[in-house]
Amino acid sequence: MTPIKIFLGVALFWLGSASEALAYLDPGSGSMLLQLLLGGVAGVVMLLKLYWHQLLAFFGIKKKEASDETPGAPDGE
Amino acid sequence: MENDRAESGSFRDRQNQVFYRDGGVFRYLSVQAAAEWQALAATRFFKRRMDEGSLVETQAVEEPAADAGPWAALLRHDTIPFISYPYEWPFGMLKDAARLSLDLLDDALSEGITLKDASAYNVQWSGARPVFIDIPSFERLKPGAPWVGYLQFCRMFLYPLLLQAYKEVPFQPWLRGQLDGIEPTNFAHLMSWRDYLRPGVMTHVVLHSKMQTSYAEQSGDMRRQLKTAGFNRTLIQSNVRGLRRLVGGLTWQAAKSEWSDYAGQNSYEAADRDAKMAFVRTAAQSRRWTRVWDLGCNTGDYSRIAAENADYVVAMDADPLCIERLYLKLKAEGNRTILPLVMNLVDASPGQGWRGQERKTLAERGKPDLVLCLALIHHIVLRAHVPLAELVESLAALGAALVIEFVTKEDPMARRLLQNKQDDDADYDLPHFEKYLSEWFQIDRRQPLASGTRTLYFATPRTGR
Repeated sequence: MTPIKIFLGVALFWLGSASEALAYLDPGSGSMLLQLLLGGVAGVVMLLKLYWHQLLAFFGIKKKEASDETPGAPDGE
Repeated sequence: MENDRAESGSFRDRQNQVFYRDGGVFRYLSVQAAAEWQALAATRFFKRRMDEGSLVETQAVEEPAADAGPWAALLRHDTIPFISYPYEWPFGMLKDAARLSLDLLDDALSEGITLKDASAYNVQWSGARPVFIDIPSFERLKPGAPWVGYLQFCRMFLYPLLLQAYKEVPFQPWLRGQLDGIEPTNFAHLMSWRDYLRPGVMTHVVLHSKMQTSYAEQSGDMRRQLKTAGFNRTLIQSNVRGLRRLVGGLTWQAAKSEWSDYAGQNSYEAADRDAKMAFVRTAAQSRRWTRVWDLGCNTGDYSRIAAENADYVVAMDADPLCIERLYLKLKAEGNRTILPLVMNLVDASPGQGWRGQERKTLAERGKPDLVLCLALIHHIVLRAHVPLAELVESLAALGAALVIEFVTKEDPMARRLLQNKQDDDADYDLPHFEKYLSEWFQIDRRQPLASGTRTLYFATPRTGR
């Protein structure tokens, strides 16, 4: 496991902790998201794109917006 | 049709239905499933995998009958000689079933097909060779779709294997106790700090569990987002190949060592052994058998003798290590007629799942016409406390011919079992055993062995009882 993966994994965990969740509902969304991390370099890049704003907010670089409760669509770049 | 019998374990996927007709296995497909079948049948890997025997031989049957209802197509599958379940497999079998599932998915993805689930029950066995049977699990990969079966793969394959490889805990009772397999959260709780450093644990277990809990409410959104982000099949393949390496590197330490001291463990002498081999061979040669059950098969030597005159032998032992070793040997030989299963007769696989019918008892999956019960009776009566008469009656209920070895209380192995306990079995002796046996069976042959504490019987069921 590369350091970037560990970093992203920890970040994802903290971001995800914001929402109250019942594990037994288990729609597998966590499993789906994890597949980005397990999908090699391309997956990690996608993960960064998906969570860029939240990561910035998490590290205090950018102010957290109300709409950041769930991850938004990737940047339309 | 009137004589069609639906498979009681085939209902979760609404797009198809397995049924039995005149001894054959058939499967109805919905309009949607029929389209997926067409796509699958056109791929190169499908034909290659079917030819090599790792996909069940499958043909489209001309037309579904007019009274087939909503079904659009009909498939016929080769029959699997004896259905078995992951909680009856030793480590090596679950590992090989996992590898086959991943390899098939990898092959399929290269041609734009995916597997929509990753159930361990989709793999069956032809002797020591894994065969993937759930053809409608293959479907065309939709753009941006993740691997839907990843969570299921972890629960049914990866966690059980890690449990055995990293924690030395047999996974069979866990899979039997929960048919969907082990939950990520529960499994993560078992991991120690040391385990966190082992391959696969931080990602597939710890992080997986955390994310399962944290993101549980965002299901609908997540698919759309992955698609928008550009999720594609190379990402799935990267994960699948990583899992393939992880699973391939797992070993069950106990199965690697202690190999040598096993074969010579029996107490009877070499002379007994040769006589016993000869007796079993003569009995087995008395006719051709369709299905043999070898109960308490140990090293599987007698299963092999029976297999000389049988279509299929199910070799069962309560000791997973015994079965692991037998499996590895049979696998190395490319055996297709002996199926090794972990099975404790006094705690045998129950009917379970929906209505207790989804997973079946042994007898419901196909009764034998010959049963071998060698060096076992003292374990069941003296150790597990099943009354002798009850044991004989239960064997008679199978309606099969029987090769059975009676071991007297004077035998060193039996003495060991009785060493520290009260002997409650006053009727555990040769005269009583023969009396019970004669109630249900006709004794065709009887042979005392040279050790003096063991006697072999070949008995056939009495007709009209």
